[in-house]
Amino acid sequence: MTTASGSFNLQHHLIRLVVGVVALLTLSSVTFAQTSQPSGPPKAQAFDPHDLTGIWVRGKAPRGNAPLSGDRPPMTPWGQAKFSTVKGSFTYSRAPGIAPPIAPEKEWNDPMLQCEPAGYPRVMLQIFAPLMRFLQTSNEVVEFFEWGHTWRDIWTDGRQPIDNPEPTYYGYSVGRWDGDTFVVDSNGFTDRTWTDPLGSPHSDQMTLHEVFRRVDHDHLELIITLTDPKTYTKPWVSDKMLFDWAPKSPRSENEELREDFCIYSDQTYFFKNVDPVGASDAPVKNKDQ
Amino acid sequence: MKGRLITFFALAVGLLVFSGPVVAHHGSQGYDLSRRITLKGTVARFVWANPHCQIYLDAKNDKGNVVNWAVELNNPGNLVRLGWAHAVLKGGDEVTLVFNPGREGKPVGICADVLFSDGRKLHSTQGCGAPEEPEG
Repeated sequence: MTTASGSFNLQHHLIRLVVGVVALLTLSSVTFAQTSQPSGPPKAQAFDPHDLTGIWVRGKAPRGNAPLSGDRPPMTPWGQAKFSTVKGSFTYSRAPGIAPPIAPEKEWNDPMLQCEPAGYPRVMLQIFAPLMRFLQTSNEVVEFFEWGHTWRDIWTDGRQPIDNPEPTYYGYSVGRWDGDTFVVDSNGFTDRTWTDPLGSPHSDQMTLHEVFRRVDHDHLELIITLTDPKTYTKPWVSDKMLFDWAPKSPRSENEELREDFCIYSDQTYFFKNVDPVGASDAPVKNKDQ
Repeated sequence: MKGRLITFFALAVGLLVFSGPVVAHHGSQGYDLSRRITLKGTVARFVWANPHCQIYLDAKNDKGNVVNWAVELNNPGNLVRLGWAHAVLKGGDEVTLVFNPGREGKPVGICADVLFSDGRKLHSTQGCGAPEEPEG
C-alpha cells in the first residue's frame, strides 16, 4: 500500500533521478567535447592565412554522413529520375525529407559498397573519411584524402579552367588566393558518384566553387557551392564545414594519414561472414551477376 | 504524477540520445539492439580491415558445443581513436565480450566491450547509437 508520504518520496526520488540523469548526460557531452579537441598548440599561435599545410580533422558541424546542406534545391526531371533509383542506408534528421527511406539492406545500391571511389565532394561528407591534408608547392595545392589514400591537384599556376576535361572522380581544379580566402573552381566530374551519402545525384555538368579560409592557426572553414543545371534548378550552397588542425593523425598508429582503402575482398568477406543479412543477399556479393 | 514523470524522463533521455544529425548506418537492421549478452571464449581471429574490424570468438553454448561468433567493430581508424591498435588482440587470446547479438539467433554481434583478464577494457562504438562517438 502506498502512503501519501511514500508517494511524495517516490516523486522526490524520480525528480532527483531525472535531474541527475539529464545533468550527467549534459556534463558528459561537455566533457567529451572538451577532450575531443585536437591536442594542438594554443589558439593564439601565429599562422599564415595563405598556408593550409597540415592535417585537418573535420569538426562536429557537420560531423559526417551529411549532405552539403539540408536545403537542397529542387531537382530537374532528370535529377528526380536519377534520385528515384537510390536505395540508400542513411537518413538525415536535420532535414528528414532530403533522403529516401532507408532501403532493406539487400537492396542497397550505394556505389561505395562496391568499393568505387567516393569522389568529390562526397569524400568530404563521409563519416569515415574525416581527414584531409594539404601540401603546397610553387604551382599547386595538393589535397590528400585519408579515404582511398588519394588526392586531388588544385593548380595555382594561373591557368584557367578547361572546357570539357576528361571526367574523373575528383575533377579538374584550379585555385587562387582572393585576400585571405583560397578559392577553388572545379569541373570534369564523372556522374558515377553520389554527391553525398544520402544519394543526392549530380551529372557530369556539375561544377564546384569552393572557398577555404584559415581563420586562425587551428581552424579552417570551407563552403562549397554546387552548380549543376542538368540536376538542380539552382545552385546548392553547403553549410559551413569546420576543420581542426592536427599535428598528426588521430586515426593512425603511425601518426600519418592512414592507408584507408576499401578492399573488395575484405568488403565481401565482411558481408559474407559478419553482416546479419548474410551472404546470400548482401549487395556486394552480387556485384558480378 | 508518477506516470507523467516517467514519461518526461523517457522523453528527456530519448531526446538526448537521439539528437544526433544522422541516424542509421549499415548493419543495424540485423541486430537486437535491446539485448546485451556476455560471452567468455577464445579469439579465433582478429581482423583489422575496412569496412569494419571483426573479432571471431569461439565460445561454448549451454550444451557445451563451441560456437564461432563474429562480432563487428568500428573501422580501423576509429578504433585507433578509441585506443585500439592492430595488435591488441590475436588468435588464442582468452577474453570476455559483451555485445548486442544478431536477431534470429545468428551468432553475430555489435557494440562490443572487450574485457581482458588483466582488467583492461576496450570499447567499440559501432552500432551503439551514441551520436558523439565515432562510428564507421
